[in-house]
Amino acid sequence: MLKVAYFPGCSLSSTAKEYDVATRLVCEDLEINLVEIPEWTCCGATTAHITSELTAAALPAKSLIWAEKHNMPITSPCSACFSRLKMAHLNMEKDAKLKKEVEEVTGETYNGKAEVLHLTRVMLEKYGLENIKAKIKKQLKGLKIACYYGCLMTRPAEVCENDRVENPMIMDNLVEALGAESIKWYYKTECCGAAFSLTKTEIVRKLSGDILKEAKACGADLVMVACPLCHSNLDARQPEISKLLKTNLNIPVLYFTQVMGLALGYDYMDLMMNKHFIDPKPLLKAKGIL
Amino acid sequence: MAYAMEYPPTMAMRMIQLGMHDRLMSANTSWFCVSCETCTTRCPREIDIAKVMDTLKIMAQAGKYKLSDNEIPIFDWIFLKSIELTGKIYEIGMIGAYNMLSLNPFKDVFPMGVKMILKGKISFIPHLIYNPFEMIKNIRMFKRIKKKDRERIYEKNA
Amino acid sequence: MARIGVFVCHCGTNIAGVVDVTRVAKYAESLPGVRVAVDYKYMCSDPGQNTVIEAIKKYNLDRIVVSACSPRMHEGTFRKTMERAGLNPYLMEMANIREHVSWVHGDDKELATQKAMKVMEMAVAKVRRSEALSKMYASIEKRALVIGGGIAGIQAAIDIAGAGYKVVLVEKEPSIGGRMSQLDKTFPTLDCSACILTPKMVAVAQDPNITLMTYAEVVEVCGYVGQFEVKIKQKAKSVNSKCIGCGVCVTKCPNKKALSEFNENLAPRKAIYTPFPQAVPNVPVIDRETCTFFKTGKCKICEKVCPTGAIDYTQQDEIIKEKFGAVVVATGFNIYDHSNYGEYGYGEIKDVISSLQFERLINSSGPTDGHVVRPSDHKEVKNVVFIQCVGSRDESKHRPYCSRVCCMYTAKQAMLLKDHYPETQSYVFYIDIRSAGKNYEEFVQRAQNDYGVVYLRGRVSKIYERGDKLIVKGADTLSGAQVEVEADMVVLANGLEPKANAKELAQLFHMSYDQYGFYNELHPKLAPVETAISGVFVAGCCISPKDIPDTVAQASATAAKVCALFSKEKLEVEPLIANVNQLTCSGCETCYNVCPYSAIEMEDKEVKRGDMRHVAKVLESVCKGCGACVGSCYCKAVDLKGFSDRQVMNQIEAATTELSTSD
Repeated sequence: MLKVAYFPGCSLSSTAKEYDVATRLVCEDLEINLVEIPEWTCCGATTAHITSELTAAALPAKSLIWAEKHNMPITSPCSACFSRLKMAHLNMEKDAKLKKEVEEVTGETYNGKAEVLHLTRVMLEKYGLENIKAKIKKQLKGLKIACYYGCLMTRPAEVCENDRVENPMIMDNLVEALGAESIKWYYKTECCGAAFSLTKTEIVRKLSGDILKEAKACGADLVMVACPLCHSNLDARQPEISKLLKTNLNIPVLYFTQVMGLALGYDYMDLMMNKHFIDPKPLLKAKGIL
Repeated sequence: MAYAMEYPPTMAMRMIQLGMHDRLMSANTSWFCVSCETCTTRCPREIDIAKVMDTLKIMAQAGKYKLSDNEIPIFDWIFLKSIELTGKIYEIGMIGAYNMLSLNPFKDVFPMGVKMILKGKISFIPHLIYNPFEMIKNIRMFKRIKKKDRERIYEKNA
Repeated sequence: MARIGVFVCHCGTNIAGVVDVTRVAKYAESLPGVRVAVDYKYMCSDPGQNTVIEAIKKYNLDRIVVSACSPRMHEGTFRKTMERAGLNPYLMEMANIREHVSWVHGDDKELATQKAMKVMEMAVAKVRRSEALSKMYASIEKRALVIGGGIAGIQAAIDIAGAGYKVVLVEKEPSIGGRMSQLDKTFPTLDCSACILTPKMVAVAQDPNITLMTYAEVVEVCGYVGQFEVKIKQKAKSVNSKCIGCGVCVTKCPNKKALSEFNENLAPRKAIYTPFPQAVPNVPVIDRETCTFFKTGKCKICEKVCPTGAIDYTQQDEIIKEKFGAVVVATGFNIYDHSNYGEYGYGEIKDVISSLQFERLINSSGPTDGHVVRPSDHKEVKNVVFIQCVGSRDESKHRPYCSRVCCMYTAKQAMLLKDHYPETQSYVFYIDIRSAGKNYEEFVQRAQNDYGVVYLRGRVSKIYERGDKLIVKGADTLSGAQVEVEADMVVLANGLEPKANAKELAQLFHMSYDQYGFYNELHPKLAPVETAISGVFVAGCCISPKDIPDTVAQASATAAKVCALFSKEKLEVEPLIANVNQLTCSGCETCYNVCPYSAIEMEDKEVKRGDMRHVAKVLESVCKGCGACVGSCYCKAVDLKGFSDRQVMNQIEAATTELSTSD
């Protein structure tokens, strides 16, 4: 029984609700006990680290301290939250002065012992791919999936501790284990435009558009993501992008726990797939998965 | 993102080395950095370029230079204010305030905003911190951070 | 009573700028036994040395102390001065008041002067007990060993053999030729590499003074200059001397499992093979790791078809022992493995190739007969991108150094490509252009001006496949633009690094090497082909990356050094070695076990009349004077000439007493 401190992140209670629901369902099946950190506060995302170094370290510190106190690894399904948590931990480790300041503003002490992992790592490494394979109820045959990792799950190398920064395979291995086909494409780690979603939307349209175009060109049926911000850029903005590119992209974007949920036997409504802008139902029905 | 920057990162680094801060800060370079960390990963001299860009933005928002971008600082202010008051991001309030303050009230309303509301993705009620102690702790932390940051700026100025 | 002279050098301002040299000289005069003490600007110069000689004659001195630089600089100089003055050269001590005092204590002049006085006093105390020693001589085996059969090794072997001495050339691969035999053309003349190399290879094979041992490696080295004892492992070629080089066995061999190392893994080779058609010696070898017979016991086709019965499966590796007077190490380089670069595809994209792979493609005796085609689908190329500085000038990959030749060979490759295929367009991504040799800058300019090669100043950030093209994303910092090129093939300019087993080979010789495995020269400016081990010389890229002219120059330089060594009848050996007093030796064998050079022998000897004892004996020609035996002896029977117990005790006493005067 794996117990992890769960940091959902702000998006998961609103624009990415389906991710939260799917994650909780899947973790229940896999007997991973997600203990939500009580009264957690926003990690600060991009805003904190471009405004104030101290804010950027202090906001995640609260969650780190709680996880350390309760002796659990801390995980987040959102790549940005994971990156901020890990970076706060590393920055406090490297800079003793910063750590002291953080302790002063929060009023608590941190001993640097928290273990920060992205949800993919928890499921696919700590829990183990083999164990997941054992629980699969339905093979997702015939589905061609483009695994999109995005930026903050793979970079920088010291934060993410990846050995294949340019061509990661962790989600691809999952897809293969679930019986689907993970296509070979090179835009896995290109940026979607992330935090510019509201402030510089035209950038998002260009970058996310390039990613979706490439996924389609490489023959993907759908794109699998592990970050709510990437999802919203690729999914919620897809109608605008289609209009801009004068083509109907129509590629559904699913969270990786939703894909796992399908393999574990959950259905369309359980995994809240109706909340997506690009409806995956026609595709999944055509492939015989729904 | 370098295609959108007035001075691509190579030039920005050179300008910093030669002390051309004013010129660099008045350009849009640092504001177009999206912190994707690709540059840091690839740099053969192992320079953390993303952090340099972050620092430029922190310096700009700390008030030492005239801001060369308006949208992002406004967004940042609203974002952090939301965390200060509620502990999390209150999306509708934030997007609404941002649209108003950036003089673009109907941005993203059609079709995305409406669709999101219809799909139940955005709630009108903010998620607050329900425990009053935690709420007070949160606000106090922000006050302390503001004080410390101000000290740091004065330190740098001195 | 000793009559000591002390000579304190200013060394310009090197010493005098920190140490008060007059005070040191005056202090010397107050020491017992010192008859005269003078100071002078440059003691090592002609007038300086004459001062010493005159003082010796005038004051009838019998031993001197020179307070100046390190003995490693000028001990030899002043020993010769002593000889010219008619004194024994070992009655001279140097007190190092430069490297040990003025160069390190520049911040406190008073303390530095006091230390200089003390250091000088210690030297005086030591020299008081010095003994006259006579030179020793060792014989020189006038045979040279050259390790490495590339252009450096070949040139050195030819030069040494040309002077009339015997040479043994040992090469690991089945043929000599090295990296130069893999190249197509060489810059800046665009000479065909094989055409200029093969005459030298043949010269090596035909020279009666050169013994060629290919498919062999050096496995053990003992001894020292003039008397190296080397064990060479001749690997079993499985082909004996009856072979006439007809090549039928290679044609008929059915086993194609191995990849040709010579062709940089672009094509397979047979289990019995010669690396390339012009191999010297033209004798194939059987790769026992892949040969069907050696793995399963079946086949034996080569034996059946051989017209002279030269195949011999029973051959075993042989260890050959040989004595040499000098060794030249010229083991060459490997190129950086670009599978470390994730942004260039982790080595998994077939059409992203290394520079040596390109050389093999464009070489007319290569795997594609000189047609430059994509390794993935053998289609011809239209747009080719060259990327410089791959594995060079890159701290994140732990290769911060510049590999020197890549700018030149990239320009060469781009030009050759255009010559063969006029419709191609080449792009070169560079950071800087290093073209510092004779006619090199003009060569690179020709590539840009006459051959239309587009030079983009910036790095490539990513290469990926789209359909059957490669998309290359980079930057051009001179215009500030992001650049994207749709290429058919990408050629990387891999950096140079030492061979994988360079460090192990160095350890056999106790040679020092740097963090990359490049061998350290004795002095980077003034002794670029010698090492700290006398009698061992190095040449070529095993020292640092360089082009062919520099390699050949270094190879000839080592040959000159070897010939200078061999021109003497006997080698002068330092007499500063250990000495056993066999009367007091108890025969406990401790020193015999401790000696790292195996320079002590035990013998049964009649040390006094009627007294037969088991005692230790120092092998004078092998002892290096390290003193381990002296420290280990329980009964103080071993002493070190030139550093005797009495001398050292005197130094310690002088060191631990206060300065006797302070004025």
